[in-house]
Amino acid sequence: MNRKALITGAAAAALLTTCLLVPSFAFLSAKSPKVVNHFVSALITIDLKETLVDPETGKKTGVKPEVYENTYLTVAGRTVDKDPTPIILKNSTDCCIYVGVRNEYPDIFSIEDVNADWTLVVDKDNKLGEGVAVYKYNAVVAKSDNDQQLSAVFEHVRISENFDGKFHGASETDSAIEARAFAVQSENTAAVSDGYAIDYFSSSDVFDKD
Amino acid sequence: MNKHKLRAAAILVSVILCFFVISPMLIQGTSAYIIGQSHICRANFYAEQQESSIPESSVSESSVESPPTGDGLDIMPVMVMLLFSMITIAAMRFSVEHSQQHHDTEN
Repeated sequence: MNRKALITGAAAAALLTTCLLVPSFAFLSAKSPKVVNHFVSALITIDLKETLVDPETGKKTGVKPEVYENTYLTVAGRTVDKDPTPIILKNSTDCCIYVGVRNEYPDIFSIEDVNADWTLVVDKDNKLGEGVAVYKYNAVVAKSDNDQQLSAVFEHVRISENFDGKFHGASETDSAIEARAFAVQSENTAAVSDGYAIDYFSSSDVFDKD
Repeated sequence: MNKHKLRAAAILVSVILCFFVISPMLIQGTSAYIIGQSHICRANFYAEQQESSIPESSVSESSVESPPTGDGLDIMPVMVMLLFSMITIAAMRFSVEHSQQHHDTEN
């Protein structure tokens, strides 16, 4: 009798313990779904091209910006086509776009027909070198799955009527206008991006190294 | 002796931590923004008397595409790395000399 009562009591205690512990274990072992944060490094890839131009006439022969270099015969009073056009390659992060232009002879060559999408950045502290101008694209370029071609910064270069047939620099027969695009992330840089671009284009060799 | 070895090791660990933790933070501070730069787009102007030597090659070259360049090397990170390298070397020399000096004194 005592033995039977002992077994029954033990079984009841075991059952009671199980009933108490199982929900507890269930509660304790519950876990949330795994949260994984993937951090990938952002980047900006930018290109600058212009439409192919006939060297003799200075007029476009191409249909879209596809070359890095054009050659022009310098004729006093002539206006030639030149359309430096930035292309933001796909998956570049949101960014502000700047294009710097170095004109060795501002008295001979003048940039004309700046597109309304672009604004000349004011160099308040005179950091830029002589003949260097920086233009800013008026809108932020958002990240995209496709390459984004912006409008050309300007359309023409006018050669002065006073050009006497030779340049007065290192070479009497050759001169060049160089342009380079620069992009900086738009997030958290609204107040500083212009200065950042000015600093970049004020570097002495920015137009010399490819 | 062990105490001095421990101290030397602590200095070394501190310097290494500075090198790998603080210096990347400083470097990050100097070039934190994501930037991109393009290839140079060039317009070559030549005067009329040089017409006979129109650089035909430059026209054909213009169709040769090259990929946009990446970011240039900033001098600041190099300087910071150099500074911490010098600190590391100085600290190691100090700790070794100090340990040696103490060892000699004990002997």
